[in-house]
Amino acid sequence: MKTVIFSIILLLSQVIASLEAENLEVGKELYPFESHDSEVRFNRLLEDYRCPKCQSSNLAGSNAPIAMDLKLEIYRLVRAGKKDSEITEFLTQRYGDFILYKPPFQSSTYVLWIGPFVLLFLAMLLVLAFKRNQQNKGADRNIAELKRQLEFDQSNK
Amino acid sequence: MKKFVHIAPLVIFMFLILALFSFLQRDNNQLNSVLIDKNFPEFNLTKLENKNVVLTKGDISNFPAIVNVWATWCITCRIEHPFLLELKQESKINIYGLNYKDNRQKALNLLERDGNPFEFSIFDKEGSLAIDLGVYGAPETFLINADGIIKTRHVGALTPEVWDKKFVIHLK
Repeated sequence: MKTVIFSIILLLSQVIASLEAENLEVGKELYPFESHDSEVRFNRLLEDYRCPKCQSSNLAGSNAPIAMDLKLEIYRLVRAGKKDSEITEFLTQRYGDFILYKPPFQSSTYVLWIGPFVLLFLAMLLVLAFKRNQQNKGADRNIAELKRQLEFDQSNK
Repeated sequence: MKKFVHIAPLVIFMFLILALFSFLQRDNNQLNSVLIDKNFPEFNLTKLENKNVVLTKGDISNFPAIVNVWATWCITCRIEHPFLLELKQESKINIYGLNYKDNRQKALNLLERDGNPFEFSIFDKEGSLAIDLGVYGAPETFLINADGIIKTRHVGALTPEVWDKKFVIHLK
């Protein structure tokens, strides 16, 4: 009995594996490339651009119609041998910087890029101020202690 | 100094609350178009009404005008359709259609049935002009002022409120 179940599971897993392999093949045929490098570049680019419709996912992860169209457009551009910078320019000229997951460093994004460092600096100042405060308190306490000791010594003379 | 350190967390927290609420107010569905203050892009596509006629940028020549991106599969387009017809009747603006990734016959049938507010429609089967316009969902409406410059873009149904708020100011 056990061997029967085992062989059924084995058979099923192989069927599933072959189905998955088939899916991968289909996926490859959607955007066929002559060179492996272009294919890698295409897939990386899809990760880097944002879907303008769904906004919280990149082109690779979106099935919105506009994402499909943009994928096809990028596919054409990659096959035409366009450089990354040219493809980025093509997209930002039409969809703006919004399409980039990594926004450019410019006046409208200064807060975004520099803000965290300013906050870090402020936090460090606060911590320093707090520490100094504690140290002063400690020093005050020590002086008070010494004074009391001194008074005690003098009264016992 | 001591007092400040004590109320600092409260001040920072209130600032954060204000900032985050102001982000909530923003309408994230309206991306700013890159084409504002630019010319309408070049194109080379057939006319919806006649597949033997090729249209180019020069055919959109009566300004001021709006270019409305529409399709039969787009539900919101049906909602704004009566308002487009009303605009055609009551204002002097020229309305051009950009039929977006549609079936030619279905599109013609819809215009036949519901009325046609457009001077003509550009038939953009592949969505190539739409990509040049930065379109990311129908309906979208572009306003071209008297000088032929794109002045605003609205994503979603064109309503009388949107018209008064976003379009009329550019028509004076």
